[in-house]
Amino acid sequence: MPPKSNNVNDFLPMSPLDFQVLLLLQHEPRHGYGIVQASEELLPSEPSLEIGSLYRIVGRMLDNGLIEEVKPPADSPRDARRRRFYQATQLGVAVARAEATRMHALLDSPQAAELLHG
Amino acid sequence: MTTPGTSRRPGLSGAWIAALTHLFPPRFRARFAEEMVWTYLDRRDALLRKCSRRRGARAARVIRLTTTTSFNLISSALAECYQAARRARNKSGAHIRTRKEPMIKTFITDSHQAMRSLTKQPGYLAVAVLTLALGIGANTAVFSVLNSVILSPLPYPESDRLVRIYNSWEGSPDFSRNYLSGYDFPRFRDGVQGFETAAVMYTYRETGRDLTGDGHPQRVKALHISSDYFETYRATPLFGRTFTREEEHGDARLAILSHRLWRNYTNEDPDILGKTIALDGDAHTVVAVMRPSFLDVIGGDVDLWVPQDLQNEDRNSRGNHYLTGIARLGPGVTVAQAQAQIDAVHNQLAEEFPGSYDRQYVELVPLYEDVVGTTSTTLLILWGAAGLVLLIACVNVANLSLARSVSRTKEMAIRSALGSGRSRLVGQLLTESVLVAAVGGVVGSFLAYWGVKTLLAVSPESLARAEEVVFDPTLLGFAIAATVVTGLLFGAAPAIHAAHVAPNESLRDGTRGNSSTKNGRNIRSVLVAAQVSLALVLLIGAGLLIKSFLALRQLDLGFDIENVATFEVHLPTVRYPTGEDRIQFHLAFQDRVRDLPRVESVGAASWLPARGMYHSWGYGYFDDAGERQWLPAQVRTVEGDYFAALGIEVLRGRSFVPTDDLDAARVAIINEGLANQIYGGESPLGEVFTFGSGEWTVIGVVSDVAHEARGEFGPRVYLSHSQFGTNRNWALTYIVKTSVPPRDFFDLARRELTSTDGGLVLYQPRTMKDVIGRQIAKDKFVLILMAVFAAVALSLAAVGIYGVLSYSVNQRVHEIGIRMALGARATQVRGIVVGQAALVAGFGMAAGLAGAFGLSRLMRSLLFEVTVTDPMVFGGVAALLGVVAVVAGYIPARRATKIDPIVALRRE
Repeated sequence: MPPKSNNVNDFLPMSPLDFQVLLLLQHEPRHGYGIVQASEELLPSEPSLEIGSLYRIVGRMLDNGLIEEVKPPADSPRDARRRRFYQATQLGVAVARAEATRMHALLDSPQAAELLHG
Repeated sequence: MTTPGTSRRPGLSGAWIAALTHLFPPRFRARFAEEMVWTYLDRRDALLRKCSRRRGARAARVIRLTTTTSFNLISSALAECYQAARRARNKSGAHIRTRKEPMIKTFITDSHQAMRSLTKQPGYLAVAVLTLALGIGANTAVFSVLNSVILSPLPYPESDRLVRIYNSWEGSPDFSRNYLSGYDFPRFRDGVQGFETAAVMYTYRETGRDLTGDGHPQRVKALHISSDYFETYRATPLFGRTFTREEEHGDARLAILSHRLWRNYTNEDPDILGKTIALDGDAHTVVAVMRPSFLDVIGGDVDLWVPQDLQNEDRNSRGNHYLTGIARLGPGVTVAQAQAQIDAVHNQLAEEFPGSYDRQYVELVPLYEDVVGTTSTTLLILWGAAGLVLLIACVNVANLSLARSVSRTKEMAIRSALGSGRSRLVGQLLTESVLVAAVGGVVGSFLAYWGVKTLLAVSPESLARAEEVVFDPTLLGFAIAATVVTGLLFGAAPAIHAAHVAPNESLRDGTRGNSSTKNGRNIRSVLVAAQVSLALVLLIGAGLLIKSFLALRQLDLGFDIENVATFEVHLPTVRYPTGEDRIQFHLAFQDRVRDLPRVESVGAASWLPARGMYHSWGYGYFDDAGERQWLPAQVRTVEGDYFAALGIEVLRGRSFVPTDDLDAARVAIINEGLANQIYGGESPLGEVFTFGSGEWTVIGVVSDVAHEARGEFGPRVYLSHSQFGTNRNWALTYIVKTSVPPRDFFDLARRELTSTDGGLVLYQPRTMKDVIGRQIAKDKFVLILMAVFAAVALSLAAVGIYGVLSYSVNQRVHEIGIRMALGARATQVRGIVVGQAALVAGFGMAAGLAGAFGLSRLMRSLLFEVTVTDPMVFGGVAALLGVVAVVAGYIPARRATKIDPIVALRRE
């Protein structure tokens, strides 16, 4: 299925969960449980990412070309190699960067500084 | 990052999740269903690796995970279906006009039709609703308890960070998961970096204090706690401050009030901080009031908190294990990491004090598992039983509906001839079923609400976290789900039947549509056989529990229960400051009680037998090789004719005598088990052992008494209160053997107590029978529930058998008429009908027995001295069902014989 668009801006603003998953697929390929685990490490005080929500997001981002399926990394344990691994595409990296920049601009504002530092 | 799970066993939960993935649209399913299941299994296996090995705790965790995952899958599936539908519609561009009405309008029409049809047969409606109400109500009731006890996290922020700290002895199941010593705990507190905070409490039950002041002394439950207790739970006071480390000593006269006490005792005094309340005559300054929402899952219903003395060296010696420990793990710290750290501290202690820590180890258990663990098995079994009842109820109503739909065959045929599509007919019937189920669900929910409230009011201590059981929206959701599933389940039968009706045939043949009714009869017989088998399984479950409970009740605990009265007397330290004062009081009071009419003997003890672990110290002795050894033993401080009052035999040596007082040599009595374990068959009299901080000489050996109502025995040491009363202020429980049932005894005793000292309270007057009864309250609770389920199941099955036979007789009127006309006698006709009943029941019983063989092993942990395949129970239940089946078949059988052959032959 052809992706929705090639223009980064068409994907902004991203939903927080979408951004979270895309972020975790930036550098290394991960499979489903790997994303859940990394998410738990990143935000331990939040409830875990559930599989229904996770795979809807994965499906959507696959369709939009933000992530792609890749071969399992060579150093992964044998049973894990039967899973499907995902990683962000160039477009995905670009979109994530744009979203991060957008959020950074928001958080850099004086209003946000007041919220964070009282 | 940890390795993903290698387990390939999907198990029941995996299969369920896999089934749920079918809710997704086909395309999504093809892409991701397999992966979703794998990811779920990874999560589940990682979770199981982290938690303890107790089966109940593991099951609880898996259920929690499965439930949250299920809800998420269902909502995601709905969202995805909606998305897929939208995408499909957008893709197709032009909107295709369909001649179909919107679904909701169809539903409303069908509902009206259904209601008209149902109200025309109120009998069917009433029976169906009542049957379903019982089934749905039972399930909702058990689920409500399940929800509060297992599915909800503990009522504290980030409660999965909380752990319980246990001190255990190797090789001794009695002493695994025991108390901590006051010496070890501060070392753990400071030495384990992984603990954010750690605290202890002194949870000897019945550590009651008297709130003295104006008027009558009022007994309250006071819990001694260390400084970070509330911080560990992350509970903040309503106002005020919590205790500091400096205040962990014996002279700290401070108190934190519970909200309830603040409301009832001080009338919500806003200026209570800094004021004092009198505990046993001792003024304590109030430093805080807790919020009403704070609940202590270990300590229980506490009225107020006071600081625990961790500085007194005698109390907090290495050998005195008396504290209950909890801790909160720091962010990112796993239980395994904290366990490793505390093991390191423990090893260091063992190095510093060689010999003192032999065969001991420390265990960290997640608090959730600790509190819930054993209950989950029970609850799951009860839920399974409730599920079976619902299934039976559904089958019953399915049969009823089937009978009803067969009698409406003509009506259906006309409708079909007039153009209603087959699917419309099915839709109408299903709507009808769901409506009936809805009414049944509403009634059932009320039944459930009332049922749970009653049961918990009757026996609150039978369940962990019973105080947290509330009715919340989740339950409503569950009840609705159960209702809809039920409606579809029992609606399927008549709907399928209706879909097979060939209109021409039935219109031509009148009411005797042969092929369809024969099919109908077979289906109904199968359904009834299924009911019988399910009822058998439930009855066997109940039977096993009954036998187990009876065995429990008759268990010989090693002491007398008949005609024994007990009550507690606690002497406030402020008025009885020294051991001598207290010893003198108890000796004098005992004499007075002994003089009361019909009293045979009087004794007292620090804790009653068969009431569980209370106080354990290390028994220090030298073995054959001359090595110093320690064995943990339960300690009891006794006075007077304790052994005589309970009928405990003195096997060797003697009991305590009045000359065993403070000036005499320190003597002790040990039980048979301890004597055999340490001294073999030889006489231990005269042997000296180390206990606490002193040395004692054995002067007697007594027969064993059980630790708990389930009859486990273990080592025990008895010390005389006249010698040991100076160790601490022992709250003694009096044991009085009377010659007749002690009905009026307590009033007499209370009068004696008040005349000896007016400020004392006769606390917890109970007969020994009562005390033991409470121990087995939980078993009783489970038994009652199971028995109710089984009784309901049996009645439903009986009704089912009756129903199918009655119907069958009606259908075979013609055939029976012919037979009788040809000379068949009444007994033969009866024989045919009853024979049919026996056949159906027989198949059902065979299936049921097979099922029960397999399923009863799930109940093993609940049973006491009963094997899971007890032949008496199996045989008895089968016989019972057989009798019921025959009786249920007899009534229609008699009716069959009353058929007038001429009338029968005239009927078409």
